[in-house]
Amino acid sequence: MRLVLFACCFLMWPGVASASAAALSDITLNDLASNATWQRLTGFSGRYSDFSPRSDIANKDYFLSENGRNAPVDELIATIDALNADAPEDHNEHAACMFPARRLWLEQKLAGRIKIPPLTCTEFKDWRGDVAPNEISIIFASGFLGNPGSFFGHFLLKFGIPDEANITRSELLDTTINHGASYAEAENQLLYIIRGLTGRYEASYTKLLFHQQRRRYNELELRDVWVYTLNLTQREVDFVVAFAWERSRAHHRYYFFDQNCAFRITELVELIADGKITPKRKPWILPSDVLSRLAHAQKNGRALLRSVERLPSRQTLFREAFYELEPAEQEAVKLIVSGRRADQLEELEDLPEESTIRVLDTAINYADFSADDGVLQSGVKRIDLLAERIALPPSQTTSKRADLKKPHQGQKSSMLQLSSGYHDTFGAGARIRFRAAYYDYLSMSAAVLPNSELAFLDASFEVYDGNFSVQRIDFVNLQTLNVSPTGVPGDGGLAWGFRMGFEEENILCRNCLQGFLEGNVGKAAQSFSGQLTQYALLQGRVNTNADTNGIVNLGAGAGAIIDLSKAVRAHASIGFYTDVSDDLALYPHAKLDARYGVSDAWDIRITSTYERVDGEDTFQALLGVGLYF
Amino acid sequence: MKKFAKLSCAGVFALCAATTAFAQEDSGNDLNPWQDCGIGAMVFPDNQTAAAISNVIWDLGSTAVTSKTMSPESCEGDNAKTALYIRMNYARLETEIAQGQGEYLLGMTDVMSCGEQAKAQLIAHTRQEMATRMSQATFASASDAERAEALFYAVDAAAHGEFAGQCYAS
Repeated sequence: MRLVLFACCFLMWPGVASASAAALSDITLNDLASNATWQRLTGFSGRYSDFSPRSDIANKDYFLSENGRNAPVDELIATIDALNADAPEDHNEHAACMFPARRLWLEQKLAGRIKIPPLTCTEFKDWRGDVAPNEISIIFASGFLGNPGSFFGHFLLKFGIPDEANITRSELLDTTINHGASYAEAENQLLYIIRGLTGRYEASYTKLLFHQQRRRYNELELRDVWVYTLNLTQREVDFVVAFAWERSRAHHRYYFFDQNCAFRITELVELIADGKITPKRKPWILPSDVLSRLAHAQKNGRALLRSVERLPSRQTLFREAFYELEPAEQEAVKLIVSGRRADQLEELEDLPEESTIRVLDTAINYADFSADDGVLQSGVKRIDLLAERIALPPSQTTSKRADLKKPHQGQKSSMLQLSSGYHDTFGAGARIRFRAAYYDYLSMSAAVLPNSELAFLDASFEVYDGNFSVQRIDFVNLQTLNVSPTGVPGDGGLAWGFRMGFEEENILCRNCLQGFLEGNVGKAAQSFSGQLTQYALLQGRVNTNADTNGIVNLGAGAGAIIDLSKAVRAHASIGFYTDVSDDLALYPHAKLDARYGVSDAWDIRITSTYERVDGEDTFQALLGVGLYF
Repeated sequence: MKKFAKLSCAGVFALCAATTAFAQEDSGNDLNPWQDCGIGAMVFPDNQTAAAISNVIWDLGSTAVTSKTMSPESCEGDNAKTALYIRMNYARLETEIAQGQGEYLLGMTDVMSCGEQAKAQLIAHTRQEMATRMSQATFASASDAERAEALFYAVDAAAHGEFAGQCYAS
């Protein structure tokens, strides 16, 4: 009842006293206008990507003052006057209905000095729903390599509705707020990246129900979803919900690395936090960094984060259910999926009923994410699995892994590594490596695609014998082994990778940077309960400099990643390439990297490299400390 | 409501015959959201690529306006929301019905505003209905949209029949 009363009060505000902006001193107005909350309410974020002292909100009609986009104080004066204005015929056009968050804040700051006529804000109520939300969560959909815009994951805001008396309410019906760029479906991928990086897309907030988002992320894109529920008072929830309503009319420029979904969604929550949640010192905003800061954020001395819950993807559900099966049950699933006969279901007759249920549930989960046409490799149809299952007693196979690291518990996204080492030609030396983001095969990352690398702006500089050189600058490095941890055919796929940047032509060459574009494709597998991942790849590469390696290279390689303990992980690779554009000479190479450490802030790595250059065997070994921030 | 059932059977598939008995019960609402609100004609992304690039806002009101068949308000009732929910989440619902429980099934009973006791009963009732359908040869040959439509008619009829007063209550 308390909530219902509050909701009524919120939507129909009787006035209490009066004040116009003219009655307030310049000092009061300037103090209010420079307050961090007013700056946030009006979109003055001061991010790096927008150097002008203007609001991030691009549409001028969002503001009440003609000069509101440029001057917070002008917008403040216009807002106070508009709040005190008489009710228009359509109440929804009154400032208190259009800007309920501003109203809440100004009523608190100018206690008893704002007079608002009685209003019924139907549009706000329709948008918010009949029942006022009592809970707010930040939703993190883990990274997705199927779309460059989703590499780092995606943020949503979710409004939770309280259960009714004796009736539990499904979270699937909660409202979610999304912030995304608008672009043509047929957009060229290169243009998409360029425009996304340079703020050429317009972005806005949209509203969908949570089950619609779950369908996309869990079921179609097979991404685990994490729910970060905040520890807020009802008044704080109301403030954020009101702010989200205000922002539903706002348009922004979308910057992939900066003013992106993570920034815009977090901005809605920052309104009630003590200080910034988005990183202040980095010129880029990554969801994992925001979550890391959210885990430590406070409001009036209490932790802002209440709980973290994982909602596994359909593929994750299948894998975790598969691990729970007995060996005989796992074999039964494999037979159903990829056996040679379409009548594999008859094999289930030999299993006890409980086993049959577990096998069918696991196989159905598999079919749900992998069988687009509803038919498995064996010829068994998903619909036949359902028919078998529905004839058995109800139950559901669930798997909740409590030991998983949460997204905010992984290593920080940026790395600075300092190494010293030995080169068999140049002697002792040092290397400085900086990686803007995000992780590699050896990283202690959390909630990222396993056995994958995703790096942006990864640069190494070396000093040998007093000579400084740029060893490598990877603009982007994306590798995924796409391994099948269950061994079930179809769970997993081809390993593939893509790397682009500048690097020395070989480890013997100094100051001979060349541009390159490299791709590979192959297959990976796991053994020893996932402790060992081995792969083989075919590689292709184009160089900008023909002097040493030629323009076009083809090659092959193999490697292994091994977890020796929780603290020690190693990656070994060996391969060769040949200059197909010239002499077809073979250039063998090998590399061994190992990491020691379990901290999110540092690790120790050794790197040893072998290359055969102009008939000479060349070695380099480095020992370094990596700092993550 | 008889018109509703005839339309359903004519336009859907032979399996519908099994549901006619309860589809003919009078719900007191002549709206067939599946057809009148354009839900049956909705197209949803069904693969990763389509989902990644889709900016479609699945909104009942705008769909009805687009189809020019009904006013948006007509398509905001509980049964229209149920129809949309089933259309969007049918594959998940089908799996959970076979398993006998699940969060999407509970979500469906919430969309239908069912009381706590009616939720479990409606799920059991639906499972029984679907068990009969899944044993029929026509079920396997029907499309997802057709199977979803049949499920909607089944639960909608149950909500207006056996569970009258316990669902669509508010």
